[in-house]
Amino acid sequence: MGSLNIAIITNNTLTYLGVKLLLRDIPSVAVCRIDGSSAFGDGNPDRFDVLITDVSTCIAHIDFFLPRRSKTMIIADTEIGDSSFAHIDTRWSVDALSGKLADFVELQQHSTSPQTELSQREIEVLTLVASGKINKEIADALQISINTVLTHRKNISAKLGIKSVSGLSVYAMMNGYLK
Amino acid sequence: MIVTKDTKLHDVVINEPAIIAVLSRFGITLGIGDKSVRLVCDERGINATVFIAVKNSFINDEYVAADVFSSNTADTASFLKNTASYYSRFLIPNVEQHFNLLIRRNTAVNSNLELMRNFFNEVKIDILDMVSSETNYAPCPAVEDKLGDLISMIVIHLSGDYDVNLCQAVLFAIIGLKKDINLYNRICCCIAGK
Repeated sequence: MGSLNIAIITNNTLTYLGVKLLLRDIPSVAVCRIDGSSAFGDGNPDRFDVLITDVSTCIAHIDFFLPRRSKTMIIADTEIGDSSFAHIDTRWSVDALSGKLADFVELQQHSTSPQTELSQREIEVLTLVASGKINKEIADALQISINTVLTHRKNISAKLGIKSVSGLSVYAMMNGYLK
Repeated sequence: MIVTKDTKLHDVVINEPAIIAVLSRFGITLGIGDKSVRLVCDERGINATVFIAVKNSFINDEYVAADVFSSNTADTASFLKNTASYYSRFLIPNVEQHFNLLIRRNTAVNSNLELMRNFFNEVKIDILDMVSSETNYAPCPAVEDKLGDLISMIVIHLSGDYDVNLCQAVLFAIIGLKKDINLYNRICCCIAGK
């Protein structure tokens, strides 16, 4: 297995240095810092396997982080309302922080997300399906044929293991595709 | 294993413990002793042919007992009626209780868990609707699909903080319910001649 790319996305230099220090004993990881006010660096932000960010950056760019929730960890200094994001709390002990970070990174190293990840077009189809649109409406909205819509739907269900429209709606909400 | 009239009932349970949930619908509880299926059924006035067909269908997904169910309609219908009651009294509350405990015990709010519980509440309505008729036993594969979706959500897509043990308990409860509904649907198909 190759090295895991970790981005620490924050404006706070001390936060960056602290997290980097906690990550230093984890093997096969490459850590880089991205300014929280930037558009997450040059190039493709999805080149990173793990995103670690603070609460304010996450809130400011929630549309970016929600679909990437499974690989995002938030650094909090208070109780956070929704822990569907993995998080660490700066008030924890060093051991607790290191342990949680190591567990999260290990989880990503064994993640099978590439096989279940949807393409941009599939996400568009999923969002429309979850919104209650029928195949014809989806075809019209995306200017594709109904057969292509059916193929996308089949691929989405195969990738996610979810067949029903209501199940797909729940998945879309869980991943921030539908609010 | 294939159950016959001469099979010891305790061997069936030990080989396939999940079948305990089905036994109770025939009025059989634990402490079954060393009796054969034939003897247990004779003592309790249970139609042994239907009993064996249900057991074998539950144990083996591919087992076909269409003739048994379609030619013993009254006893089969009685089993399905007890099954409907078992869902509303035990299996559905079992999933709900585990879901509620999982969410209550979480140290912070995890909206994924809430979304999945809401989805189960939707499936629960479908299940109760499916088993509500005492005369028309119609299979509903969509319910199985939705439970399969819920299993995928937990196994493949769950994120955030949660109690692993309680989450596994929710998962086992849903898997048990799905297996049972698969049996229900297959028996309904046999009665309907599908």
